[in-house]
Amino acid sequence: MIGLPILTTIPKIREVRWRFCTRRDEEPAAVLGKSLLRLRICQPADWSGSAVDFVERGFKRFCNKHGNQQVKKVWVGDLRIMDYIFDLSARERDEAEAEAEESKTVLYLVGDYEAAASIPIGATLPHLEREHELLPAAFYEAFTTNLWKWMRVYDYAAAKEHADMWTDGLSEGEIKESVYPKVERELPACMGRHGAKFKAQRALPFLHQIYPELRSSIARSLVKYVLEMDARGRGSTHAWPGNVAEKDIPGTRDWLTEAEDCRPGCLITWYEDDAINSCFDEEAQHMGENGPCEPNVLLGINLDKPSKELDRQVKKVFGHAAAMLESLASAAKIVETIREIYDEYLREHRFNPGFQTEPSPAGLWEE
Amino acid sequence: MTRDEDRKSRSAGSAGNGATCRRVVSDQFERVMRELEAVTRQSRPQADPIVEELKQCPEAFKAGEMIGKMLDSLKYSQANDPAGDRYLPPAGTVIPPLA
Repeated sequence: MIGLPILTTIPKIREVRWRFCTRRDEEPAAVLGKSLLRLRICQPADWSGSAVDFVERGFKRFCNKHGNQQVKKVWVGDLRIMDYIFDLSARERDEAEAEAEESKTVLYLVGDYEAAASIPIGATLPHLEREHELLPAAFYEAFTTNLWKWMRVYDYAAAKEHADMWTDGLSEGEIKESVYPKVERELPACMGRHGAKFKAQRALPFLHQIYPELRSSIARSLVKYVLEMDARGRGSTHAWPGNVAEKDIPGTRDWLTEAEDCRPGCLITWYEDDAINSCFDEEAQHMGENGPCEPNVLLGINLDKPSKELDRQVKKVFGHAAAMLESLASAAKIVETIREIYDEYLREHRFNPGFQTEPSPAGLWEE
Repeated sequence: MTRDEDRKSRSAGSAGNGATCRRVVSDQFERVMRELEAVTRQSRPQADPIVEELKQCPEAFKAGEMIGKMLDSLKYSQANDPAGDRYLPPAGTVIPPLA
């Protein structure tokens, strides 16, 4: 259907920026921009007249170079450079800026996930077990250990902890009817037998050793990418918000005092409608009820430092971002394979993905 | 021109272009660095010239403070304040500017 022409004409003005920032935003961006220019992360051609734009262009290119596009296929979230740890409304920002006398001298690299990526790994484990009985547990351990470097992982261990805590106050009858005993019962045999034996220090040498002997393309691909994931993130540790030292970035602790634990970046279940999923649903209902959730990744850049020290900080923070994106790009390939296997499993068993075959107890309580 | 001379002149030319290219990049680098430096300088709070002059002459600050208090008393005086009656014209009076 073609509408009537509108009476208003909106002029198209060329070579005028779409966004203008206040000086308060421009100053910290300019200090960071100088450092990024010295480190060759930003280029002279990025300059459009705004320091915020300048930093944004350099950072976007940096993220794309380190695998951002691949990561986005699985994870929905943000890796941002911010002047506050949490998103603020316009009013909150005005109030915060009115209290502060000078421009911000601290910027943060903040990484967070909008949703937990679903990783139903149950159907993948038999493919690995056919190669070696220890392979499922070794792979699982290496995969989750590496994911933990960049996000909170919700998996069997978290669900078990939740189940144990909530079982405490229930009668035997209630426990029987609840989902909690299922958490342990649904643990795949190959994980139950060998899961506890493997820690990452043992799992990785085992995977390196077995890789050349693997015959199936699925197992080879999964082990290859988990080893790649580990190599890309080697030397990095999780940048938990609590690790930001008060002496380096004063005031950060105050921001975090009221915050809740961060939201998980992924949910590793055996199958999409299993007991781990039910426990996650229960916990997710209450996440963020008592305040904002901490971000999954937080690193500070103190701009109030001499050039050399500032560059060292920026290099470290951007190095962490690069390792995170590259490692998660490898993880995304693993997740894609796991999901393909799961879809195949569903086709064989004639289930629809994401469709619950029976209402879970959590769902019943809600009703 | 022999083949060797031709090759030499080409390589000299390309070396020259390379140097020019590097200089252009370096100039751009310096220009953007100056622009960014200017942003940080602009944003720094500038010294207020009136405050600077008052620092030179604290007595002027005292005098200004007294005048300020006097004007405040006029501005915020109550309707039944005799001082207010003396200074303020009756309601509705039209006062021509610069009369």
